[in-house]
Amino acid sequence: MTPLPASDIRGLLDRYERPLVRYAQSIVGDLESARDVVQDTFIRYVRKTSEQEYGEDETAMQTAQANTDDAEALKPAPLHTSLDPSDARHVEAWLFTVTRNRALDHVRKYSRIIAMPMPEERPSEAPSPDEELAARDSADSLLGLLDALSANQREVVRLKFQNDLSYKEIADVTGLTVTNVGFLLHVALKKLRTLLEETPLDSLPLRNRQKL
Amino acid sequence: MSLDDPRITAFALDELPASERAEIERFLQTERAASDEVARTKEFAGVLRNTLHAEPAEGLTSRHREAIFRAALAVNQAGDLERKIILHPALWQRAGFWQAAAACVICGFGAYAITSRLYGPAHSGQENVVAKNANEISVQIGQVGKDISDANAGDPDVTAPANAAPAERHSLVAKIDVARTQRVATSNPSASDVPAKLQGVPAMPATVASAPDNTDTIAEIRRGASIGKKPASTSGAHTVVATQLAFTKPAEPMTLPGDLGQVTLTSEEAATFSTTREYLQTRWQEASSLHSGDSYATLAQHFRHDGASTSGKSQRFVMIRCPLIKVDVEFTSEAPQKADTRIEKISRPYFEPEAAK
Repeated sequence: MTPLPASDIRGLLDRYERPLVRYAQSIVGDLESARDVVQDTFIRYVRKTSEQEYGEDETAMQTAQANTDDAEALKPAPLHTSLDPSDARHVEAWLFTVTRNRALDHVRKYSRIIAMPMPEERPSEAPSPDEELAARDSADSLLGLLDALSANQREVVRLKFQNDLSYKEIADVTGLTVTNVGFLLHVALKKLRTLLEETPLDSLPLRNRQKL
Repeated sequence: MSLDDPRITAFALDELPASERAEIERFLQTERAASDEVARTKEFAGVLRNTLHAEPAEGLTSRHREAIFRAALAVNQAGDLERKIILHPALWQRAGFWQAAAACVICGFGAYAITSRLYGPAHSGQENVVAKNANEISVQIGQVGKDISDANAGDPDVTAPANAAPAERHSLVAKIDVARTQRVATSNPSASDVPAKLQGVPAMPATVASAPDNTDTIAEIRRGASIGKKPASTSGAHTVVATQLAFTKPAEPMTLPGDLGQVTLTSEEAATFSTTREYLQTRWQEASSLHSGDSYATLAQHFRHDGASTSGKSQRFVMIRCPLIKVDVEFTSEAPQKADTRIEKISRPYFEPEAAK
């Protein structure tokens, strides 16, 4: 494969940087770390397209997976195939997979460190005016309901409905089977619908978005 | 089949394989509740999709993007080099190596002698590179875009840029951009009689270290290599063929306006003036891009602790790529900082001379 010209990289950034940052943020929790993760992903991408790296990701991911004991935790997914830059869907799945694994690496690395919230991030007992406004927004409240899902369910919901990945692509990104993905989505949608029916949207508090 | 079957959800989301769709469709025809469930799932999926799509999404900062483009540039350059250098068995294992080595030694000494006479000591640095590297193979200069093997038929005269004045052509330094290389067994002895010229003026000898695994050496020579006389004999040799040349014009002295008159920069100063200014400007922008709330990991990409000032919340940092630039930082917690420790306050970047070594 030949190295990508700068215009191609710019096009890829324009297309994927925001979805990837949002996805990474949903895993690592803070925006700046998410940006670092996505930057690392794109750097790996440009190196991969010029065959500078061989199998590193796969090895690292398998090792990481072997070291992950918590059944509830998100697990890194192995890269099953080499990267084909000419296939847009393939590129998308590759970018999401590497972003996910790098984000999980980051979480694992800093899991013992309790981040000190910045002044503007410190929770307040009373809802701020912004929160009050947002709480009235039913869309925001629906986002808040995602908190009730497990990490796995939340992730497949985001990949399916926010990033429009198919069951198969979600399976590739997460390392789950297609059947697992279908089951997780089925349960997640049922749960969200039940919650929505039981809880008036206007009464829902604004949740911590970083956990979504 | 029950209403709680995941395949019904998959059907509603158009994710069910064709092989299973028929079974679900038959079930939906007989079970009204199931078809209602599909309709509700579709409707809710639409709401969820619209909601999640509308969620704000931040992008990368210019600093992150710049890092990606820098990586791409580095990869491209490395890729170029990889394609340019012959990656074959070790040099001494190739057929004709010893003949070529002998030719190179002769050529090297001959070229050195010619160069010394033509240009004096100004190019001794280049020749030092030639002399100290035992594994050298000659670069034959052909016309731009033309294979050297074709050049055997005629005079491989190298064309100087059209805007170069005749008087300065002899002093032009050609950067050899080895865009394409190949093994060439030059079996035509008559080729050795064809001198490479720069618009009729005999040019500098050109050599490239034959160290495919040492890209630093190659890159250095690419930046400074001069074009030159064709080797005296390359019969049977395996050579690297340079087919593209890029010329740079030596910098001229520069005058800058001052309050009390103009200030003149020497050609050496002028050569570094613009690049230094650009470099400093970029570093300054990097330093200025850090703000309160950034992580220590982000800071550490550009700065390191300044000497022993590593205790407490307030610390001084010096820019890695330009140690003259410093910032004072106050963290949210005492040292040692973790990667995700946040910056509480950060000063504007400032210049300070480095401590005397």
